[in-house]
Amino acid sequence: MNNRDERKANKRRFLTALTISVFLHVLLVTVSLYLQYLTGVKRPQLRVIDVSLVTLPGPGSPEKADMSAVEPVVPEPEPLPEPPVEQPPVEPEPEKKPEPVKKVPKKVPDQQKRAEKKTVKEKPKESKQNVPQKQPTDFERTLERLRQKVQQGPPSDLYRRSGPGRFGQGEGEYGAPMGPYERYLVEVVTIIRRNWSFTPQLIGQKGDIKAYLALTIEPGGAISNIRLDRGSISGYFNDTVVKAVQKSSPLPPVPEEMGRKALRIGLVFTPQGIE
Amino acid sequence: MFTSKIGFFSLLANAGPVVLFVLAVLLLFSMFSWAIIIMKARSIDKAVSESRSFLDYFFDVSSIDKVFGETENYRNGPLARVFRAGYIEYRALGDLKEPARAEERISRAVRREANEETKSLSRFVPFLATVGNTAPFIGLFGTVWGIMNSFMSIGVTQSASLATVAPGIAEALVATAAGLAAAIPAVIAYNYFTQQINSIERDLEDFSGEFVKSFVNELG
Repeated sequence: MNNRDERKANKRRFLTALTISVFLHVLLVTVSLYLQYLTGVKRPQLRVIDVSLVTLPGPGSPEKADMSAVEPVVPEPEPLPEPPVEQPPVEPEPEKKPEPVKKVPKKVPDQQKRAEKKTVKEKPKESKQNVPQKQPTDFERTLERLRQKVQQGPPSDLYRRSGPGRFGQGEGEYGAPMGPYERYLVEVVTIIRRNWSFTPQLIGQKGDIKAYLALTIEPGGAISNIRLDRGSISGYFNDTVVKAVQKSSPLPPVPEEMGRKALRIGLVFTPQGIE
Repeated sequence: MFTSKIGFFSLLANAGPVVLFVLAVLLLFSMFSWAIIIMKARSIDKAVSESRSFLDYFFDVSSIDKVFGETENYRNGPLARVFRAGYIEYRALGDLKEPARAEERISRAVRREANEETKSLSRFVPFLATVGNTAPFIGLFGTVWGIMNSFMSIGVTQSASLATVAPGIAEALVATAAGLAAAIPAVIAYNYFTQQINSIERDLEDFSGEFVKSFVNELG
C-alpha cells in the first residue's frame, strides 16, 4: 500500500516536472521567435559596399568598378576616345555637341585640357575652382550631355550587333544562315556561359544589372586584354563575369575564314544571359 | 512575420525531413532530461538536507522510540527511512531475544531498505548520461546528412559558390547546436546528481551499522 502510494506520488512528481519542462521549452521557443522577429525589424539597412579585389590590377579601371558597385555613378568618358580594334570608330555625335567642345580649346586650350583631366580624376567641385566661370558652364554642360549619352547606350560600338539580341539560345533562333564570325561568336559565348556561375539570390533586387566586358581573342584562342568597360552595380556580378571569361581561356582558335587575326569583341552580361 | 532571413527558425523552414526528425528527437530528449533534472533536483536536495538533520537528531537523542517518532518529519530522508525499516524489524522480533539472530535480521532489513533508497535516488539519472552521450552524436548525424544534401545541391546547380553551399551547411549545423544544447545541461546535471547520490550512499553505508548497533543495544 505504502509502495503503491509512493509510486503514484513519484509518477505525479515526474508528470509535474515534465509539464514544467515542456512549458520551459515552449517559452524558450517563443522568446527566440520574438527575438528573431525583433532583430529582423530593427536591423538597420546598411549600405552595401562591394569591393572587387580581382579587378584591381587589371586593365579595367578599378576605381570605376568599385564606384559603380557603390552607386550608379556616371561612367567616365574614358572609353569614348579609344577606337575599338575591329569595329567602326566611335559613335556619331549630334551636331551641336562637338561645337562647344571644339570652341573651348580654342579660347583657353591649357585650362581646358587641365579641366578635362581633373574631371576624370577628381571631383567636379575642384574643377570648378580651377576653371574660369563662363567656360566651365559650357564645358560641364557638354560633359554632362556626353555622360548621359554614355550612360544610356553601350560604352562602345563593340557592343552593337546587327544579329539577334541574345546568345546561347541555339542556332535555330538566328533564322538566316550564320557567317563564320557569328558562328564563332556563338561558340565563344556558349563556352563562356558554361564557365559562368553565379547565384541570382546574391544579387537581390538591385535593379538593372548589366556588365559590358570587352576582350581580345588571340588567333590561337587565348583570351587577353579583358576589360570591364562598364560594370553593373553589383560587384559580385562583375566578378563572376570576369572570372567566367578568364576561366574560358583558351577558346577555340579563330577560324581561318576570319583571317587568323586577333579579335576584339564586347559582350553584355545580364542575369538572364549573355547578349 | 520573419523579416530576418538568417534566423534559427528560418533555417529550420528549409531543413530536410531527416534533419527535422533529428531535431524532434533532440527536442524530446531535452524535454525529458529537463523534467528529470527538475524532479531530481528537488528530491535529491530534500534527501540530502533531511538526512543531515535526521543524523543530528539521532546522535542527540538516546531513545530509539523517540527517534522513530521523529522520523515522521523526515519522510524524504533516506537515512530516516532506513532507520524506520530497522525499527520496524526490531519491533517485529517479538520474543526473539537471541542477539546474533536479531542483529542479522535487523541488519538485513536495514540493508534492503538502504538498497531501495539508493535505487530510488538514482532512478532516471542514467537517462541524463544517455542524453549527454548520445545527443551530440544524433545532432552530428543530422549535420552530416544536411551537409551531404548541400554537397549534392552543388552537383545539381554546378556551382560551388559560398551562396550555394552555405545555407545547407548552416541549416545542417542547427542539428549539432541542438544536440549540444540538449547534452550540456544533461551532463552537468548528471555529474552533480551522481556526486550527491554517492554522498548519500556513503552515509547509508556508514550509519546503517550505527542503527543496527543501537537496536541491538536496546535488546540487550
